[in-house]
Amino acid sequence: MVRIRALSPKETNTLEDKITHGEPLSAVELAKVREMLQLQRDFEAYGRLGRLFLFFSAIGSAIWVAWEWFRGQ
Amino acid sequence: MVSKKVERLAGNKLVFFGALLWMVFGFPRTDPGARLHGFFNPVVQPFTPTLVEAVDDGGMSSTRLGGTIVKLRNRGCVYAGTRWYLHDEYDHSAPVTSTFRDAVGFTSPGEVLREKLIIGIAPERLGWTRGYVMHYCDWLVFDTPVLSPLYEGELLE
Repeated sequence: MVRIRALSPKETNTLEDKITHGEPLSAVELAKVREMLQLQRDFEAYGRLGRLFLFFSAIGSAIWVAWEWFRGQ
Repeated sequence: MVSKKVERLAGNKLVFFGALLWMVFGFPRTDPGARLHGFFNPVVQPFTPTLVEAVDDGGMSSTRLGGTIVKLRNRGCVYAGTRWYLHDEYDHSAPVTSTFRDAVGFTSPGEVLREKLIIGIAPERLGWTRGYVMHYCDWLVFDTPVLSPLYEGELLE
């Protein structure tokens, strides 16, 4: 497994240039790109989960507050 | 899984920041928020009174409680009174007057002896009550209320 964190800015630039200009990538470079894409997908999935968690917490707490308020009337 | 509609709604910038603001600055200032805060991070520990006696408080049959209260933290927390509720078997509740007649001052964390906690209810009904201590604690730029459980009557579930 290629470790993405080991990618230097120079390596990233080289990869980016190669992809932009349509140059063929080596097997290692392809693996690095694939892992970067996977990392991005994971990142987005965690973001989505976080937003959903916040959303449901906010709705749940608002319902709780409203319920307590009506009960206290 | 969650429908796409809900996912889109949760991802909406306005909804996201609205929810964030509510969870950080709105909910902690509400009553349920104060109770939740007090449940997970109380300022004082629940206490068992060592002194329970009937007193007459201005013509009202009341109870005087005494005992050692353990204060868990102090930094940024200001005492803001007590709250006492009488419950029934259906979990209805009604507020009961309660006050510390001891001189209340700044106290450090640790054990604090209190001997004059006057509850506006007769001792035989004390088992149906629940008591809380209210503090205002520092929270970002605001103070947030913390309702720490102090007493739970033995007749309550």
